[in-house]
Amino acid sequence: MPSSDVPSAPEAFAAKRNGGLYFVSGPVDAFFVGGASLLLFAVLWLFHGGERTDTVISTAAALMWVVNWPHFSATSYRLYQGTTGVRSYPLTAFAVPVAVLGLTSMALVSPKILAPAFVHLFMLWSPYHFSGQTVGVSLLYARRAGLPIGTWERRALVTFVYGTFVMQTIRAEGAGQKANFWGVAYDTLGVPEWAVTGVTVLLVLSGIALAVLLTLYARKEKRKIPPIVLLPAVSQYVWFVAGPSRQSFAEFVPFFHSLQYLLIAWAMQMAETARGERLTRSRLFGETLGWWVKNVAGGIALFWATPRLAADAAGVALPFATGVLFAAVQIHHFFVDGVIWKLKNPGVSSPLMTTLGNLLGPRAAEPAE
Amino acid sequence: MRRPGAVVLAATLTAAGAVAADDGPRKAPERVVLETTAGDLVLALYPDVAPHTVEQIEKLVRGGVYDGTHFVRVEPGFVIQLSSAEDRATALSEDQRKLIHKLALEASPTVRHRRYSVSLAHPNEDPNAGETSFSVLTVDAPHLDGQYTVFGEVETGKDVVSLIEHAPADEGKRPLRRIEVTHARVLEPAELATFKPRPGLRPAGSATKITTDGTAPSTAAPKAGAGSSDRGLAGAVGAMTGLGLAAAVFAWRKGATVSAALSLLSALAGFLVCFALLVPETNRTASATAVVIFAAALALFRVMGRFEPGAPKS
Repeated sequence: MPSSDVPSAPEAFAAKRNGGLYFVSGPVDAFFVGGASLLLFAVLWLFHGGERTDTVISTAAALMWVVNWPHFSATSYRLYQGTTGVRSYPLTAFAVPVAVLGLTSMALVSPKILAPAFVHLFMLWSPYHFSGQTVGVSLLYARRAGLPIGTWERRALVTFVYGTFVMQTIRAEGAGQKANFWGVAYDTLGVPEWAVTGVTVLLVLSGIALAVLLTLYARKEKRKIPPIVLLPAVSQYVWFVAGPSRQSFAEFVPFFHSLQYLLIAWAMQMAETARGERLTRSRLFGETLGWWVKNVAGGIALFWATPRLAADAAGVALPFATGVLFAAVQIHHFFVDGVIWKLKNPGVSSPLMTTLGNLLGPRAAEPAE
Repeated sequence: MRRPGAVVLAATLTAAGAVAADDGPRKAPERVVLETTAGDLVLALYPDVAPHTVEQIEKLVRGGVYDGTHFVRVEPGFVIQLSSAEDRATALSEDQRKLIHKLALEASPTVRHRRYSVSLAHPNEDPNAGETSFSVLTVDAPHLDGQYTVFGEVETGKDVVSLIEHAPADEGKRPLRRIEVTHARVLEPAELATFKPRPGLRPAGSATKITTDGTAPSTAAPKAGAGSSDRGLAGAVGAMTGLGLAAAVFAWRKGATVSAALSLLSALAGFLVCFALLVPETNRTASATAVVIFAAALALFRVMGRFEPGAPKS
């Protein structure tokens, strides 16, 4: 997940377009970074009552195995696949798993006090993490488009994107409520209504400010803002503000976040695999398939196997172990993701300027007839 | 200290359990308590009207089948409906699944669908296929008489019914926020005198004004103190500190910025402990403290992104 922690105006302005605007192509990139979610939202809006039906649940569950879980695995795979990641981030590679394991163990032995807090912390961190990715992907496309993102544009974007999640989250954190994640029940924070009102106002103002700033820039520079730059933020708005009223849609939001991630992680993986050389189409396909299969297997290990191992080891019920371990794996993911995807690190940003065209062998090199 | 209201309520419950009401069917001496995220609902059941249904529902409650179920339908001015047990938060165990079987319609010519009646749901095409889902009527609904089994009534928690009824819902009448039965249990006659149900807990963000039956909804919820597990917490903090130290030593050998990382890990552990202690308190009433905790969590997440700068890859 490209982090929002990217250089502001001068450095970003200096970053010229290294390749095309898109990793693959306009439609494919748009589909992955948010278009799919907008499409589904429109379809559900037009043709579905919004209920969380059995079909919705089973579809989302099936996608979890092939997209959501692999997206978590992809982060671990990126960090641990070779010595480079481990050498670059030794603390993240070794200390964070130990710390998360420690917290997880404590949660398993303290089901009434620490487990609810642990799961609750994860429930707050998760949408924060979604927002960080959304900002990061927006800024990545801005960089690829050669758009300077000034301090105020960046502030407006960050406030708007994070505002969507804060509003939705504190709405669900009212007083006297209990929430539940895989049977681990926890008390909500007890956020007063005035806070929701305040964040709503901030969200609207930041949205207006972002639109005005970008319009002014477009007029001044006489150029259009590529829609893909704003697509992640618009999608985020739908995920957290427009979408939750339809439970059928809300069920798929983690899937869309994962889809977004997988495009970026795939591009990075392929760029690092190519190491500046050209790949043949068959090699690219093979590398892609291999990477995905490994991450599917990793996802199954993380989300299917570890809860069972923990339940056996700690002598706790499987649903409880599942709740705690799901939270643990995801907290580890948030931690690692926040560290390894810094765009200000040239080792990260440079491969992320690649395109499919850069990766593939030139057709011109094929024997002429 | 027991509140006067609780004493009155307990006395009422006891009396209701011991004496059959003059103007209604006989109530079973025990009660079913649904502890929901909106407050407690106390159900009195009608064993003479729907003997099989009452026996089965009590069996399911005792088996923990209703724990984690939630309200799937809220129609103001008509009904609130509890989900099927298959739709609960955690999967049913094999033993729990074995408890469930189909219930034949037990329609009574005298017991009508009235406000606060509890009525067993069933598929439209088969009135003899009710299983676990049931509804609470919020108005008199004579058009349902003879079609569904009325097997009890809401005796206490009418304010909770009203809160659930008016919860924000989507177009499919499903609550936007999950209203869950965190625990259901059978309250034995001996327990009635000391039982204190939690009143309705109005969720923040609900703009609907709630009309209640006498009792104004309260935002206060009795909570167990966290003091009983202080030793566990101390152990947790100690273990986390040890783990942080071990990790720090390891990372030091790798030449990384250990001190910052150690501080952050300690902060994470400390925050978790504080979070565990404070949230049950802030949950009772909506307050600025909750906003501060939320803001602190966001700050922590942000700082965690600075955990390690990382060496640029070649």
